[in-house]
Amino acid sequence: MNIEIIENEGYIIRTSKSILKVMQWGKNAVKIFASPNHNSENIYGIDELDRLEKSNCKISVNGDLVELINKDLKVIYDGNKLIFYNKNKKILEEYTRAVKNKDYNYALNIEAREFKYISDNSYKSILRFEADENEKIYGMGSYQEYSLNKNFSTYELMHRNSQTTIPFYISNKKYGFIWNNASIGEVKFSKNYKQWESYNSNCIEYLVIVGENTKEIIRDYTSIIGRSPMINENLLGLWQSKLRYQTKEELEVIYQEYLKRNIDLSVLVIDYYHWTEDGEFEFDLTYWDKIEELAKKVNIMVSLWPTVSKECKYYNHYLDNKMLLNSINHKNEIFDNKAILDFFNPKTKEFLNFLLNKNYKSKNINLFWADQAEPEMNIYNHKEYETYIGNFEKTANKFPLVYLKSIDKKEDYPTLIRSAWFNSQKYGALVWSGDIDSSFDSLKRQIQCSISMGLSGISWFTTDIGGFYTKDPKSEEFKELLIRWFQFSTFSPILRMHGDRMPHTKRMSNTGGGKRTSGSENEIFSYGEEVENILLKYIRIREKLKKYILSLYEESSKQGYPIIRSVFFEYENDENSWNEEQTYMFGSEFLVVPILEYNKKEIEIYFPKGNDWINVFDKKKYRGGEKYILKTSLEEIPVFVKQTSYLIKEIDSIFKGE
Amino acid sequence: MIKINENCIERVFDDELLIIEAWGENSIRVRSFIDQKFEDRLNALQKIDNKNVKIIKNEDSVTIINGKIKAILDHRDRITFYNDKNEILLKEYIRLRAVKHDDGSEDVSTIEITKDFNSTLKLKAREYKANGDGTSFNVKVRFESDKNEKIFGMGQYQHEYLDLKNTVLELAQRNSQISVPFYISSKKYGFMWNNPGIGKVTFAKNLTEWEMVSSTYIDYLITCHDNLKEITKQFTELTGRYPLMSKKLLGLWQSKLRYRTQEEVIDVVKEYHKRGIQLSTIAIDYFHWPKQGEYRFDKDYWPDPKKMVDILKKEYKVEPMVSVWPTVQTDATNYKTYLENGYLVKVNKGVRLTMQIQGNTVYLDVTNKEARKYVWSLIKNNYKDLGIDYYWLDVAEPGYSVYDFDNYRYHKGTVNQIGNLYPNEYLKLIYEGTEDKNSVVTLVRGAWLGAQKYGALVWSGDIDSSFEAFKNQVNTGLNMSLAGISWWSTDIGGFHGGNPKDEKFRELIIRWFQYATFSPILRMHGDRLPHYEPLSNTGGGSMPTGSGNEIWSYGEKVEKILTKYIKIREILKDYLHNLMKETYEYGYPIMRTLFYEFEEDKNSWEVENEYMLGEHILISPIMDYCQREKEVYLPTDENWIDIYDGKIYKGLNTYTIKADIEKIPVFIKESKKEEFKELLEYIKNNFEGADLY
Repeated sequence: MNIEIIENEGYIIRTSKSILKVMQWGKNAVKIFASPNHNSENIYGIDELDRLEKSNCKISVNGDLVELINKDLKVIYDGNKLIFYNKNKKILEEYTRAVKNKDYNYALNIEAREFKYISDNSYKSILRFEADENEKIYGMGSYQEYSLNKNFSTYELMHRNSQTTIPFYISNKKYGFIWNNASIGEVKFSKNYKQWESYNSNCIEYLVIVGENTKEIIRDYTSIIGRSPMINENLLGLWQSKLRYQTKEELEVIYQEYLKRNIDLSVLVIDYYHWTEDGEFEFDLTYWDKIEELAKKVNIMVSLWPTVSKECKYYNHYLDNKMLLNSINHKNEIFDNKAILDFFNPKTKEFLNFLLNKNYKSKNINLFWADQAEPEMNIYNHKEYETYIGNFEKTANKFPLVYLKSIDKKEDYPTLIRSAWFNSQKYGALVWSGDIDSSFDSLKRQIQCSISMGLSGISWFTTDIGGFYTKDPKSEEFKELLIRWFQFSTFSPILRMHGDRMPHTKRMSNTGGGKRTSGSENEIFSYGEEVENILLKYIRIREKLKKYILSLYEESSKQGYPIIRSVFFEYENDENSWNEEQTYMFGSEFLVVPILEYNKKEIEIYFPKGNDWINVFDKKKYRGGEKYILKTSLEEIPVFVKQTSYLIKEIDSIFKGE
Repeated sequence: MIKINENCIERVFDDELLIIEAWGENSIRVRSFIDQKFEDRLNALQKIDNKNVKIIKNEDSVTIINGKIKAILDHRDRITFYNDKNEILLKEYIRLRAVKHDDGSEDVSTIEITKDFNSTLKLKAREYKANGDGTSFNVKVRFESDKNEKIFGMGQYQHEYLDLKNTVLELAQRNSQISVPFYISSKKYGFMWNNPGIGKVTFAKNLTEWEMVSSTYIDYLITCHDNLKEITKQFTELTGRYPLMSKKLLGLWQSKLRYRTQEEVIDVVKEYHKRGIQLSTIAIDYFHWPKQGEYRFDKDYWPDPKKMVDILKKEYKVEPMVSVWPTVQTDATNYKTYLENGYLVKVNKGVRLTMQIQGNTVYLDVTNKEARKYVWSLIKNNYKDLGIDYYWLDVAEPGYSVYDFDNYRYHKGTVNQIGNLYPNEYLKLIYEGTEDKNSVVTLVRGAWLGAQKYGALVWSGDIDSSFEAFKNQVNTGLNMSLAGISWWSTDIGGFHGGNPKDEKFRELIIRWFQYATFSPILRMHGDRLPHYEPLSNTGGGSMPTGSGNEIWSYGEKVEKILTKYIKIREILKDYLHNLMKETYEYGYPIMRTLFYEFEEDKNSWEVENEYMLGEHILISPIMDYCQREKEVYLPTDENWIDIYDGKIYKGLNTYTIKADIEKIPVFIKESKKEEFKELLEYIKNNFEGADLY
């Protein structure tokens, strides 16, 4: 065995086929690197991958076995594959079916780490692990499905509109796993093996982090990849948005309507096509003259799109400076007949901020909404595009991060963005789940997405209340959906109305800011008095919860904890809590059970074991560790506070009104 | 544009031609062709005339009904299959904007909105992504996954699972992995992926996805019936059925790696004869030849094969079987003939080499009919004419040294496009040559859909000699059977290694032999340790041999037990032959999962590593070292007799059954007691409760 031991750090094994590096990454963590090229580094990995606090690491070689011990984490290399242990319990084992030795013979010739040559320093890279039928796997970003537990499922490692991939998972076997590769790929958590695949990269790199419990693992994971900053507390109220306010006058009226109702909006949003042309990043003053006056009274957020049309006055400037994703087939129209900015090029950032300063910040507008951040493509054919740093197939999953980082913003302001990557939280990404259907089925999926994103290290997450695509906003079913969704969002990081309600208006004109139509109204008072009254009640609750919510943001910023938490995050020792997929903890104090069906009359609720629970509305008490069937009403979302909570005395004043 | 024909719906749109066609009883075949380029390819299917097909055009969908199955092509270009109870069997998976023809456009004002679930993921049910210059495509077909569905069949994979739901399966042939892409669902339908390209299928919790890495079309068939046996019938009606296996082959097959001379072969047969055991076959393994590709005996070690064959067949009534390898050595005397005629596999990159064994070798391109004819001419001349009727097609995947599927080309197409056909084309070499098609029984390491019609007796390949490997065989054998490959066998004791002096290995041999007794073919084979030095440095002498692998090689105690099971097998011959007839007539498996026989018994769907040999015998093999009892589920409302002590057990219960080393838990239906009188009598007189170990 050709092994090089680096005292206290790890070791390197070189063979004719590949290089394998096993290196400690601070206490309880290890980073594994493999490549066919001995002289190779991870080029497209996570940029800011901080090491955990230094630990003593023992490496010993015994014949064909190499053992690395790093506090509770032990890694054994058996001459072929790596096996990982947490406190001597096996947690993960590479999968190989190619060994011919005295122990076991396989004729299948399947290796744990496989590299299929594409071109110079480019490989399809495959990594396999033994499966465990009983394992539970959580995280992975935001995929449009119901299952919180990802075991037995298959995932593209690729962002799409409404799909964010963050290839990190946390296992009930007490470890976290980072797939450190931005390439388009896939992972299959199958019953017969786990398989990670990147379609185009120069290496395989992954990290394994072990810990005592979920909280510790999440803390360590987020100290490696970063945590959200602190948020400005004025942003925790209602955000009003729709597709799309078309003029400054229209927006002024909305503002006044809310004022009339004594609602101080946190944010008022101006959606796309307020601009003169895609890529110009400036208001069409025909419709938005004097917007700065309104912006003095209320926080205004504007939509940015990375799209650039041929008619854009900077088009040639962008082209000549390689500031566009460049098609190898000479067709730069990636989406909707438009090119897309290449944020991998530092010049793009420079130019964009020049425009943002000139056209928005100068008008008191400091909140940005980075839409279309995956980016969505008409056809997802990444390998046909070149970025400033390499083929898009190799770099694509980082795109939302470089886009985010290209927008200079105030320290405690978020940037609303559609999708994210490792490190995005550090730069204030407030991710929303994208353009989703307006239905209860869809709401159900968003609950899962919210919990999963939290476990993936993205605490700042939101969804369009009522969903995005609404066919019939006047229907009774939609009204109920809106109420249920609003209730859920009250107990979420951000309370934000948005959507594309049918029918659409006619165009105002055929140019600039007039050419895109608008959906129907989408304010709390657009759905009749009954709806409005209920929503108002929740806006008040949200207001009174502000201090608590702020404390959750603080925990998120200091410890990396999610704001919407899986039940097992708080009740780790309660076996049942690992199966709760549609209820969640809002911080450590509240159990929230969103209603996810139309006309739901009653609901079965499992109360996690460890303490008793008090319904915040009627103060009824429920025993932890038991199931109850509760009646539901349209006005109330089942929310329970820990009987032992420090908030117990304030419950009445928060939830019962003045 | 939708066109309605007598038996099918045709839809053309942009780059696709879609054909949804009635194809056989209660079955629908779906084909899609990129760029609307129709190609009339049957692959594993046979041509069928359909009658009474109903096609109904609705306002925004088209329905085709063929007996019990119905398919609807809806306004979103999605196919959903239903049974005659109107339950959904399978539904294509789409995640698209709810607009007519999602072209990715963002301008909501210009598109027609429908009332469906909206998604911006842009995932289509049928997807083609061009490879390189667009002559081939990465093709995907997606279906909605049903968490509660169970999936069985699909061929042979080296894992422990019977239910394949939640697994991912490579659609590629490897040594010990056989892709036969047909599954039977707990929702009572069969699904056949009729494309021999390399790819994978993912039966995930969130998605079912079929993928071909390089193809130009989609072709699958779905067949439904509320009775599983009928599904098998319908499926084998379309893909072919086995010949009728001769009764004389239902005894013991003796084989090892490898008998080196004709004397060795005859000596072994004599030894069996001395013990009163009538062998069915004896195998002559590889490197009985001078060079690979010459397909003849090396006269130095096999001086008079004709005489040997005569002795075997006439004196001992034992059928010789010879090994055939697809490897052609670059220094074979006829290597040039292969080259001149283009009979070998082509390599895209690197050295022309497909396997290194005794020099450099290149595989025979069996997809070339002329190549098959040429090799058959050698086989006929050098084996068949001597009286050898049975062949053992080894390395039939073919087992590449490195499975770089994109690196090889066959006459019929690239390996990526048609590679999984290789074992079937290889089988045709023997099948086409043999005059009496109904007598063909070919031992083969590999298969694809329809291999049964060429008389494929498939074995599970070069597996490890361990209890762990044994555990991977039982369930997978049941899955092979459900995929239409009823003739299936394993090397008793496993292939790789095993020292006949080792106690643990001896127990493994016993447990495996007991299991094989109740399987389609009882066959000893393996590469036992230690190896012996080669006889010489050349030709038929150059390959070493393993240790003895006859029933007496494992000591007296083992021999005694195995001999009893040989006797049991003898007694069961008529029963087994009847099963062979069922296979021949209807395509039924010989080894059947419990749910296949008792589909009404819900518990039986959960039972693994336990099976029915035909309708009346239930077997629950012992697969652990030192295991002396096992939990056995007895299905259905029926009484079962333990064959060892005659005790009667009520069905629908689980019992702890004793399994001394002599005994494998076997039960017969009490109602069929008379039929098994001889068996029960024999056991009564010959089995005691004593544990030998």
